[in-house]
Amino acid sequence: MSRRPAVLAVPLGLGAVTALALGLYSSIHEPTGRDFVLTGFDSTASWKSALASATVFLVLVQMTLGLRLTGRLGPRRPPPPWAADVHRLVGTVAFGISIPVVFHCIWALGYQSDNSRVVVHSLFGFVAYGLYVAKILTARSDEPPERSLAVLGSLLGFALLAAWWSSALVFYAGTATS
Amino acid sequence: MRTSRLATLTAAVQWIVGVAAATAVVLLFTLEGADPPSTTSAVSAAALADGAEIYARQCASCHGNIGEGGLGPALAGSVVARYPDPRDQATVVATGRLGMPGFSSSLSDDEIAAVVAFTRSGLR
Repeated sequence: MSRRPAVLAVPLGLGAVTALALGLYSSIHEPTGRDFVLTGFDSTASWKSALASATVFLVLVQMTLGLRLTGRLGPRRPPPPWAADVHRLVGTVAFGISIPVVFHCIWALGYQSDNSRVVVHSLFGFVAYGLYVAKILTARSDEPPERSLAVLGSLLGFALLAAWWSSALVFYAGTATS
Repeated sequence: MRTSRLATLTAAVQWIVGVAAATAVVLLFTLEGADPPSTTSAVSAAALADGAEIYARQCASCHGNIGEGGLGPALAGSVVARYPDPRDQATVVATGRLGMPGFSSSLSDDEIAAVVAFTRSGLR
């Protein structure tokens, strides 16, 4: 049974539309500059950094489970029956807790091109959400091409890690040195 | 049985997250920010002059001589939108943010208020 690469056209196309839509909105939307301070955190940046860090951690867990599910990690015997559901659950929770973070980024701050770090952060953030849409749609398509999910998942993990590195890690580094 | 419960839980969480994502998209187009409060009317010219001097000494090396940005983000024309409440901006100046150091140990509260006022009205 051949697995046609064409089945990726719709997921990749909608992923690209998602990334472009986020970028377009962030560019033309007038940033509100509003801060949300959550209980237990002393600033907007602190809760956003915490949720972003939790997202990255869960994505790393999900990638590890993905490697186990595809037989690339762990013992040769089949993965435990719960692994696939936990893989999906962890990915869903990771996406869910990232929603307030990206909402504040694009609603309150928007796209800013006056700082290379922010540009890098924004672009990887847009790409990460586009890759997320592409991966979910690919996972739900009939017989996706071999390794397509692994490639999309890896790219998504890298994009999220880069977005986190250019924001939360900088925040923690600044907090530690100030 | 355990796997079935897990699948049910996963489906429920997917549904909740889907609703949350849809809600966030709706809010992006419907939720408006509060109008930035007026912040400079009660600030004296002397305080603004002090703020300008402090800005040149402590801030310009990163944010640019006229707030055009550099190592730090641009402030001219954007800082009010970013911090509608000047107290939030003063907190950032005092405690630092991202890679920016805090100035609470080198500037008094009045000096921080002065430089905040200057960045909000003197950098255009």
